[in-house]
Amino acid sequence: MLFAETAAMHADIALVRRAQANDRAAFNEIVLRYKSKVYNYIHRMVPSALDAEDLTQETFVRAYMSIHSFQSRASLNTWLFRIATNLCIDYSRKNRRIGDLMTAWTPETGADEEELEREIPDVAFDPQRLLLNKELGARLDEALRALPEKLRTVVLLHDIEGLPYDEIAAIVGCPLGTIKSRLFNARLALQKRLTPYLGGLA
Amino acid sequence: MYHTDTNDNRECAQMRLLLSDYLDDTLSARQVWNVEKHLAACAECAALCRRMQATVRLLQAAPRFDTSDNFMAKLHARLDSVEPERPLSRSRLTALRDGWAALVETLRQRPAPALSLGFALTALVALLLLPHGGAVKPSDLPLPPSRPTSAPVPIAAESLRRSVALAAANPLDDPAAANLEAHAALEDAAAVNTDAAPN
Repeated sequence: MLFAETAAMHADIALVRRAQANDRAAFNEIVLRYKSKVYNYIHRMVPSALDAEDLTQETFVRAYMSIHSFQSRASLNTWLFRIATNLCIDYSRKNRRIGDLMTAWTPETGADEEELEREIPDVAFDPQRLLLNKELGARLDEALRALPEKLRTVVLLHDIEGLPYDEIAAIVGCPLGTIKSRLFNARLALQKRLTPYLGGLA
Repeated sequence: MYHTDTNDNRECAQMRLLLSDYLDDTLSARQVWNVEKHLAACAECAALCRRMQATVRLLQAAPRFDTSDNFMAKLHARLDSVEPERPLSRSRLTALRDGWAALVETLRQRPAPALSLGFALTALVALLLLPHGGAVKPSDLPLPPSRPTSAPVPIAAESLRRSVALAAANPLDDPAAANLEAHAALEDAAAVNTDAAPN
């Protein structure tokens, strides 16, 4: 695993060097390698799929324009996700609506009480089986969108994109302890919202 | 800012804070032992742990989204209209700045060696910038204004004279009074000569 990661990192550095030498094909390869990951992340950070694709494009446009300033101190993955995260933050600031504020998550809210009345499917716990249910997928995305942006960022990067704590800390620009704290609070909030759909494990 | 159930006892509250790290397998062996011991004894915390674990698995199995079919074409159309920003030619100052930034980033991640290096650098700067390696010779100190070093402060001399005179009035009480009187007379003579001397 470590060897594969190291090999991938060296391959990335080689592609960046070629892109810095105006090799458009090398930059194209970078986009092909990372566009799905970046889009998958941004898609759950912003409400609109159209805006998500636009922000993903903007991520790579900015990366292309500032490719000469990339100096391999951080990994290409960290660099791209940092650009994407900053774009999402800017997007949220520009498009914040009162409705978003009304649905901000607080642990003491009783807003989820009605959802607890929903019938709980009596199935053995299997994530893949559960996610075949489109409604569950929609509930998961709904629960994620209800999280405050700072918590959502961390849980998406860690639990969905699989990035380690230290890389997330570099992307977000926060200490490791802050990342762990946000992840804990995000998971705590999500499990509370998703309890009715977790197959009777609560 | 975000609180667990206020009815939890203290141990539950402490253990719950470790659940996320426990699920990520980032706790020490001792911490794992403590958490598992508590989970075995506390049904509520054990249920919370199971729910969090189920939530994490759900997230890990979440459907992935991908870009549209014409994403690359649209992107390259945008890239055709922009140019990469060229960095300025790297002057020595820029190279030093970038090297310093890289060093700071490395040391930030490792504070203990950073402190040692900081002290060493401070000492090195002191040695390089201060003359004589930082040692100050007495000859480097500015001289005080030129004045006879033997000249007494006038008020102190007058006080001394009175004391000597008083003691001399009773030489049997103070055998050293005669010597003191003679010494004071010599000093007075020296002071007179100094005042008369040209500057």
